[in-house]
Amino acid sequence: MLHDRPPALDHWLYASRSTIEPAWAARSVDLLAIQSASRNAGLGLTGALLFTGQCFVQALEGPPAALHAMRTDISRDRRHTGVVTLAEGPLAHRRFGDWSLAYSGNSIYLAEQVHRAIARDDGAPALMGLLQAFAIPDGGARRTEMPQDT
Amino acid sequence: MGKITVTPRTVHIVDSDAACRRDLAQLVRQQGLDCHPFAGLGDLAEALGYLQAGCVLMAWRGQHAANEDPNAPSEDAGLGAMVQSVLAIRPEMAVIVMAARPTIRQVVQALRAGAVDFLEIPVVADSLRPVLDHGFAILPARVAKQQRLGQATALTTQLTPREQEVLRGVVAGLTNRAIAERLRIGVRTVEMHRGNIMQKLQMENLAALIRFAILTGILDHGLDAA
Repeated sequence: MLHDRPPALDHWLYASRSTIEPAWAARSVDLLAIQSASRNAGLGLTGALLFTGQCFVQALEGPPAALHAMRTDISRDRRHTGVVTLAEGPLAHRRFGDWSLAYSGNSIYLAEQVHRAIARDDGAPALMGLLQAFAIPDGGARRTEMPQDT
Repeated sequence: MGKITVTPRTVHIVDSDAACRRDLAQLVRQQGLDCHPFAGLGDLAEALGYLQAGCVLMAWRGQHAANEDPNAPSEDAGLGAMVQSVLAIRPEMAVIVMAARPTIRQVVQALRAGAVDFLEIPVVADSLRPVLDHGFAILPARVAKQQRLGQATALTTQLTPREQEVLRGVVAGLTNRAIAERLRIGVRTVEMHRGNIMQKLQMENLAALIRFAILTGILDHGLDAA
């Protein structure tokens, strides 16, 4: 082989409904985030998780085998149900530098935006933009391409 | 004079647009809530120290009209600073940011800075009410937390520097012997300090002390000083 090809990357964007008792949700998701951050780092998976109190939206990207294994685990996880794939497939470049909890809270406005985007057939780019906006540290003048919604 | 309200429900409004401010204040009062309108962040800042805990509706109006120049540098960083300027002084306030035709980035900036929610201008009653209800629902816990924190911090200042060092050791799970070695004092002296700490902080047992230490952030300082 003349040159090294960049390692193959897959991505997965999904939404699901939380089955966690609302009173415990915030703490449960904090705990889940701590566990996921170290597990994903070990697997070479990057991405972001968003929790509106009712719904999860998560983007994951990384080596196909690792992502596949994680997808299987996530699909079996009993803390949520109704997992819907919004986007998937090979990826040229990672879009997240690490894995993080993008948002966990009870903003009614955000929940509405998210639920509306999940319901739309073409809502995936808007949700991806939202996850990226939360995940990219706002270090002042740092400018990345703005995800265009609509 | 006014009647005594058992659960005061106060909404502070900050909006530089006089007409919008008036309309929103009217909308808030129609909901049976107290309303204090402010024309700017400066006016709010002057009063912030003694305002009643409540919801703060803050209008974000960029200095340029929306869509005037899509390539102009965004001032959204100022949006986060606006939210934080309130929470730095009054962390218990339920801050809600309002903007006309908000972008994803603006919503994210507001929530990341600690706003509890977001509203689109013009604000309508149907969307305002649930957001305010949520704000008021979380307010008592936030107020209580601030009060505990204030009391705890006041108690901590009664400790001598040496007692504070011993406290960090205790909270870090060190034995009296280990603390004594680190501080190069006798084990008996550590025991004496521990007794004084428990008395000064009005703690009944170690579990209460640990909880107190977590609350006041003594743990955050780590063991460096010990």
